[in-house]
Amino acid sequence: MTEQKNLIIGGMLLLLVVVTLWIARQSMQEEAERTTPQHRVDYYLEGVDSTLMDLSGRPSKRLVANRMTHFMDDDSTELESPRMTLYDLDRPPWHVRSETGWLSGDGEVLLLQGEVKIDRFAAPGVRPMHITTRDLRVQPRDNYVETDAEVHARSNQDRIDAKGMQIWLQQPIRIKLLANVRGHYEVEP
Amino acid sequence: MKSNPKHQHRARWFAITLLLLLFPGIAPALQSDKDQPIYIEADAVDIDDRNGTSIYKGNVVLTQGSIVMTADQVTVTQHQEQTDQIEAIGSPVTFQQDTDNGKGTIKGRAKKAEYSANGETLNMIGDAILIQGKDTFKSDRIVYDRARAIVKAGASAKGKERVRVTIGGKK
Repeated sequence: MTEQKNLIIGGMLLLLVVVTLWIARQSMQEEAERTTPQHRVDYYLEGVDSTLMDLSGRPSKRLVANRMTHFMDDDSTELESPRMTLYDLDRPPWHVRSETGWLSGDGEVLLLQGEVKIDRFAAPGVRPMHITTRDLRVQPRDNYVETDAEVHARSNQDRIDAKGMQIWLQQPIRIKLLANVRGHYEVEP
Repeated sequence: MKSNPKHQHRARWFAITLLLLLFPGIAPALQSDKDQPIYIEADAVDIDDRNGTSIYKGNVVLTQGSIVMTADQVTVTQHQEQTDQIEAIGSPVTFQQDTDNGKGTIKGRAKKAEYSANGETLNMIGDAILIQGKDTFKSDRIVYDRARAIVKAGASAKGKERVRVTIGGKK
């Protein structure tokens, strides 16, 4: 009889300990959720147009976007319809545009998302170049660009299709298409 | 009295060219091949925008009309208002082209092949061989007219003439 009582009391105590631990854990989780900083906007700009000059005062890069939104917690920036111009010393500039963009807080990574178009128009002695792809990853400080997506490059009547691309923007610009390359060249009789 | 080596050299060239132009068994190739678009398949391509070169690498297959060429690397050089230049290197570069009148396919190989995209002449350099049926032409350098399927000249890269033509020989 006494043993049965002890067993019931012990069981109740064990249940109490489990319930207490569960409540404590729940409240800790709620507190953690409460203390997680929210992804909050601290400022935004509309009709952005900024130009970066080189050391000799010539335009080096220009960024135009419909809207630029900055987030307080991770210092990241979102871009709506970004259009970039990369100036070349003695040749026409390269124009890069995408649907949206995201710049990391430390400025190391720029993602150009959705459809991306890269254009360089013709000039005397310079062939035009038009590249269509998706989801570019840019490392601005390294002047490096890459994508895993399908790439379609066009120059006059010639075209090259491939999968995956790397671009080194340091002059002179080098483009590498990584897989399944198909080139097509029209021949003037 | 010694004969002039320059004159000898010229006479030898004339004889070789004459022999090649009269080379039997070589039939006219597809005249239109040189005006057809060029298709290139490869594992990767490096584009140097400033120099106007596209270097195709890895299992490269180039086709232009009935011409099929395989190589380790093919470089296409393009400049505004100029004809595209093609250079193939491989171990070896292989080449084949159909002829117009059902006389079969001309096949060849060399360490290097180069030509203008719309030009008639294809240069094959380094251990070059051209074969049609039982006829074989070997030289260090073969100049091949791809519009007429005629071997125009062969020369040794080492300065000594060492051109071998086998007509109706063993394959």
